[in-house]
Amino acid sequence: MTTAVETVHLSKSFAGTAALRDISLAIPSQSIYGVVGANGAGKSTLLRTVIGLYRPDAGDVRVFGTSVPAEAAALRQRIQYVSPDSALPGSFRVDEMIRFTRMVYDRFDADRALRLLKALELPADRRIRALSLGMTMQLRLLLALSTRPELLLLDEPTTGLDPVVRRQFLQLILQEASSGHTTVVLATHHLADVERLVDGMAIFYAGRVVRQGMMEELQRGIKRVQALIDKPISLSEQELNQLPDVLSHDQVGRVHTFVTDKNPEALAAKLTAAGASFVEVVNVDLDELFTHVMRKEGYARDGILLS
Amino acid sequence: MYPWLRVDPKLPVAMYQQIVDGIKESVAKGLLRAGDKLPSVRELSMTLTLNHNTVAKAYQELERERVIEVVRGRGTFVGEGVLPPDREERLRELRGALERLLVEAHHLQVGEAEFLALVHDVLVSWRRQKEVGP
Repeated sequence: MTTAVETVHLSKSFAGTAALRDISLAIPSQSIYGVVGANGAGKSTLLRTVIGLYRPDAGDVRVFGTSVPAEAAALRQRIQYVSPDSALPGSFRVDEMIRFTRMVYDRFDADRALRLLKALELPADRRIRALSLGMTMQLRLLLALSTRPELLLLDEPTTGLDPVVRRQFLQLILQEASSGHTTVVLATHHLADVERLVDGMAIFYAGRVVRQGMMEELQRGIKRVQALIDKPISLSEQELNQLPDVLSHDQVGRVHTFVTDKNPEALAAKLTAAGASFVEVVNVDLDELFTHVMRKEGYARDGILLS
Repeated sequence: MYPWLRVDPKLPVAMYQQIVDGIKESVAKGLLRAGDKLPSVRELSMTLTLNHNTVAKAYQELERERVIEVVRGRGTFVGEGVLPPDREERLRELRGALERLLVEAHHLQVGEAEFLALVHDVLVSWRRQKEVGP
């Protein structure tokens, strides 16, 4: 498996505040890769460094094996960055913007642009400043896909889209990724977008990568162990609360739930041996995985009651 | 298209397995019949807005279990009722599942006769469901 994007001990600060700290990542070619994390975790900084908008303070970032800071202009013909923050000239009409982009990119596919324009139902003669937020995002994706990119960087791409358009958007991304020519990196804090789409992901927290891997590896790494304890067992309540490698322990009635990131089978065997019944090891969903990984990092917010 | 197929990432069952289970259930219920054409991996991935590799993995598993057949250049079809290679092993699992139901029956104080009547009942309504099917 070849690597599309590789960062090696990458760091970047703004005015003394570290946005990326020692990031080492490898994103496999032709995959859909999620970059997830809370607000301000460094997701956008990473994408902007990958496309060469920011220079790394330390370390290196390579795309298709080429160091980005040295070759940014040449690489940018092959990379597209789609973000709700990227500026488009408001006085241009949609068709003018398409023509302009065509002049900038060598591999621009005008047929594809036309087909997307029809499918997305964008008004060709409207000025960009008169487009809604969602239409502007669709125009950005249209322009990006029309350059036939080998690497598509998407930063919170479903912002401002209604459910129907969002679905169409995700379908376009899936199609592009399954074509076998494009690697897609999807940065978002919407786990629901990531869950169905990605092959692998990296979880960011405060400028660091706290966990990364292909989805199967990640899900293998954290499990929930459920057990029914309806009679006294050979473990005391205190012992149950202090089992090793348990990230959380909850109890609803007689059903106990343990989340662990080390050897769930050993924990299940221990509970069974102690006398618990219906002991089961199950997968956690992405929300839960994310919550536990974050809690381990000390990132948790409790619900508050507003009076 | 394929409203009988739903994939929910929140369920503890892996997403590819949900596709496998969904298609197997549709075949068992007669919603899909031998020789019916199935969507391509790409089409199904789009319909379900699901990663291409997840759908491909489900199809591989269904092919291994002889539920579906891939004909080069023509597409994917519901299999013609060929017995799966691991039939013996899965029969043992089926037996195990029945034993677990008997444990549950015991605790509900359902005796042998009542259990058999229950099985018969389920079979009859399953058959009816198939007859009124599509």
